[in-house]
Amino acid sequence: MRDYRGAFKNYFLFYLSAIALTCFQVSLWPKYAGNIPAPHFWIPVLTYWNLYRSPKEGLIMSYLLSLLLAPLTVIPLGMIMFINTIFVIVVLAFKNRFYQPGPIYFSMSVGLITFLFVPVRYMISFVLDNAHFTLQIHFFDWIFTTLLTTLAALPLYTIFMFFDALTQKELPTESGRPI
Amino acid sequence: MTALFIPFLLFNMERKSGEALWILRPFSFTTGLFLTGYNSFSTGVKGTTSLYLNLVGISKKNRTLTTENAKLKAKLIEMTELTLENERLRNLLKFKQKSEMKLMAGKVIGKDLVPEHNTVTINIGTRHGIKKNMAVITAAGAVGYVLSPEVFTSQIILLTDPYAAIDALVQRSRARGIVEGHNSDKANLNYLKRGDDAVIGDLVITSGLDNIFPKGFPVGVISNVKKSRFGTTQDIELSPVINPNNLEEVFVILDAKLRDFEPQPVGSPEEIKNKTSPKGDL
Repeated sequence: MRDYRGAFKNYFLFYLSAIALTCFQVSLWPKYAGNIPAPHFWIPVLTYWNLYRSPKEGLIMSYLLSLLLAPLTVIPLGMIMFINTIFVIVVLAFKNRFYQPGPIYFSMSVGLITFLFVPVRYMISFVLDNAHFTLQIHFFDWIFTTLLTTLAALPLYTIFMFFDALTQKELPTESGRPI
Repeated sequence: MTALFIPFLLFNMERKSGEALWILRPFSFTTGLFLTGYNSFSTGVKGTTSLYLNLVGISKKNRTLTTENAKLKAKLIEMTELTLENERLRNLLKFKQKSEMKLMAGKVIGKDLVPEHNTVTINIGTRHGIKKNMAVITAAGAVGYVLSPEVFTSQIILLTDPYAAIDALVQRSRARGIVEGHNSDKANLNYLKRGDDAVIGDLVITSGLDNIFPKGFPVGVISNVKKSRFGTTQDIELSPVINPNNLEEVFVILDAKLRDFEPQPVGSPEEIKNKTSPKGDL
């Protein structure tokens, strides 16, 4: 029988940490780091769930994360969901082509997704947004955010593994789960 | 493809209603609580840290302060007079603000998730009387407007955000256009006719026609004017009067009471007409 309580605890822990991290990104980071671009803290959660869970669970988490992100930005909810769903597809495709266990691989995947955030966001905005297209790419912010998020993914991997152990969730296997 | 159906559906729902979806309310509430909590935490930490830092250097500063104290005592008498004057002026200003507009002060407690967008979250919401599309200002000029008010917090879209639009006038020539955000330190004044009079250094003010801002509030100063060889409009770039990166406290206008911030022109009607009419047309 499936352990629903454990699964709920697992979802809850990850989601709570996503809220705490994302609110930290928009509130405390600008206060203490000034204009240094903040890492995108929701991306490690999204990537972790898509690397080490079934595609269905990963997709549900991407929808839940979109609901969390929408109140913190001017980007419409539908557009954020589009972006996160594309990331789910990218992570699954990446995992299919190349998989290695461990924090380095996880951190690399997070880096890839963070790097893709800006072009994917522009592409989606270009296709869906009927508002004037005056968004500008901030290259420094883009690269710096990618680097910081990649680095932040390393300690977060350990924390996420701890969450899994705490809620007795089956830990990631060497080959990953079948897609 | 099924995975993309839900985002597409939500995107259309949002576009049709033009409002934040009801499904987001619990999430906005939760994030609002977190942001308020972080803000209180940060204020507490700042206070404790500064107290400790003060203690470290206290003995060193003591000697310097003793000598400075004597000098300052002399200056104190002079300063008291100035303080009293300042107090009087402040009271006058308060009285003026109270009688003209109903304002509510808010503290910035969060920024947009994405660096390409310029929105801030402030620590006041519907509980304090904040509603959607209320104007947000500082003493320097227009800041933006309320995009989505929540119970304890509100999201403010700054006029430098690409999604923001404010109806505006060139103060000198009365040419009317729409200010649209461009990036964190620039905005554009769009839809100005090619023949409209606008030069670098002109002040752009709110027109009051969008029912958001009172008329005559400073928006920005024209920093660049480009006219292509063909086309019916001109490209005008603005430097906003506010710096979105340094915003800490803002005012939300709860009731503008039809306030017009522009100084009324002095002179005969003929003189005023000559001063304000555009110099040429297409």
